[in-house]
Amino acid sequence: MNFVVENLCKLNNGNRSLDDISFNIKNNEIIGIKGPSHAGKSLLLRVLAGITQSDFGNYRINGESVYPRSQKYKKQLGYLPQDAPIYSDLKTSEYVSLIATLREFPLSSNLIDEVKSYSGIEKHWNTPIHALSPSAKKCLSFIQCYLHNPKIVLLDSPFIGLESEHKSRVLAKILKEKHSTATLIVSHDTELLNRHCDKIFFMEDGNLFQNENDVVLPRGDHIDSHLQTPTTTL
Amino acid sequence: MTKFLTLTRTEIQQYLRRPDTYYIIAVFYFSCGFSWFYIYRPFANHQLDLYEYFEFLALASCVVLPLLSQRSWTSEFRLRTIDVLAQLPLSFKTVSLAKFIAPLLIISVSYSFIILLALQISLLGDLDWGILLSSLVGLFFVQAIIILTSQLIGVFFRAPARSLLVAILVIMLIMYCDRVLLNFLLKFDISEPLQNKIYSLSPMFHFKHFIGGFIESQSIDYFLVSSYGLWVAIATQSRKNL
Repeated sequence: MNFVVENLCKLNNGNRSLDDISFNIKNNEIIGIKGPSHAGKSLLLRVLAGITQSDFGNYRINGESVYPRSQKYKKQLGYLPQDAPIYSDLKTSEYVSLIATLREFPLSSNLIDEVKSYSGIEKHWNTPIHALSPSAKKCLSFIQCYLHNPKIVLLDSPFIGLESEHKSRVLAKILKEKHSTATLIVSHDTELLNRHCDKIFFMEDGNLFQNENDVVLPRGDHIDSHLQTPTTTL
Repeated sequence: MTKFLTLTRTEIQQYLRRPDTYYIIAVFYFSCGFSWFYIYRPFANHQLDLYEYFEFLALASCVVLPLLSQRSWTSEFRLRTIDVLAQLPLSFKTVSLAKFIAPLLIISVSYSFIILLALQISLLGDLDWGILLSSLVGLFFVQAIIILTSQLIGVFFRAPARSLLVAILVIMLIMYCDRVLLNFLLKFDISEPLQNKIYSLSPMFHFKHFIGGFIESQSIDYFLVSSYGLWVAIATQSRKNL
C-alpha cells in the first residue's frame, strides 16, 4: 500500500494554513510529525481524515485517485482526533459496538478481547464511559481507530494524557499493526518519535520539512518566500 | 439502513438516560393540561373538546422541544464528538436524520398521555375520535418542524444557552409569523387572496386545519417540503461547520 499526497493546500482567509504539502507513506511505515503549536499538524490530519476539506491537493492510494470525503476512502482510514472526543453517555461496550456497526465491521469475540486488552478496560466493559479515567477514555478512543483493520492510521497526539500502563499498551498496538498499516503520528514527544518512527517530518507555519534545520526563515517572510520554492516532496 | 437504525437507537438511548428528558415531558403535559383547564376553562364554557388543548400543546412545543432536542447538535460541536462521526464512512444526511427522528419518536410515544386525557373526556360524552386523530397527525408534523428548526439553529452555535434562546425566539416568530405579518400589513390595504397567502406561510395556520379535523393535501405538502428543506439544511450546514 502506498498513500501519496500531492500539493495539499488549505487556505484560511487568503493565508495558506497548509502550504503545498506533498509526501507519501508506505505500508509498514510509521511517520512522525512534530512542530510547534499552531503549525498546522492537527489541521493536516483533519484534512487527511476527510473532516476538513482542502482547497487543492491530490490523494492516491496505490496509484488510484481518492477523495478524502468519500466513503470508500474512509473505510480504509483510522483517525484519532486531538483530545480524543468520545460519547461519554454510552457504555464502553455500546461505544465499541456503535463504531463497529458504523464501520460495517463485524464485532467478533476475538476482536472484543483484543479491544479489552489493548485499551485496558477489561473490568469496565459495561461501565458508562464518563466513569472511566481520562487515560482509559483516551485508550478507548484510540482503539476505535484499529477496529476495522485500516490501511492508513492517523494519530493526533496519541500519548498525551495517558498513564504509563496505557501508554505502553497504545505503543504496543501501534507497533503490532505496523506491518499492515501506514501510520502517521503527530506528537510533541520527540524521544518517542525518534525511537519508533521510520521518518520524522517537521512542520511550521503550514509547511512540511524533512529536516528541522530546514526551517531557517523568520516568521514574517516565511510564507511568501516558500510560495516561490518548489514543492517540498518528501 | 443499518447505520441509520444504529444511530437512531443510540440517540434514543442517550435521551432516555438523561433525567431531564422525563422532567421536560412531564412539565410539558402538566403545563398544557393546567393551562387548558384553568385558562380555557372547558367546563365553564360548556364545550369539552380538545381544540384549545392542542393549541396549548403547539405553543408549549416552541419552548419544550428546543430544550429537549437541540443539544444533540450543540454538544456534538462543543465536545468535538462530531469528529468521531465525520471520520466514519457515514453521510451527514444519515446523521441528521437519526438526530431528528430520535426526539420525534420520543415525543410521539408521549402522545399516549393525550390519548389518556381523550379517554377520560369520552367518558363524559361523545368524543370525535377522527378529529383527535387528525389533531395528533398535525401535532406530529408541527413538532417535526420545531425540532428541525431548533436543530438547525443548534448547528450554528456552540454555547447551549444562547443557542436555546435564539431557537425559542425564532421558532415563536415562525409559528406565529402570520399574526406578526398581518398585524403589520393590515395597516395597508391588502387584498384577501394576499392575506390568505400570508396566513399559509405559518405552520400554525396548517396546524389549525388539522386540529379542526381537516387533513388537506396543501398542509401535508407544506409540512413535508419544509421538513425536507430543514433536514437538508442541517446536513449541509453541519458538514460545513466542521
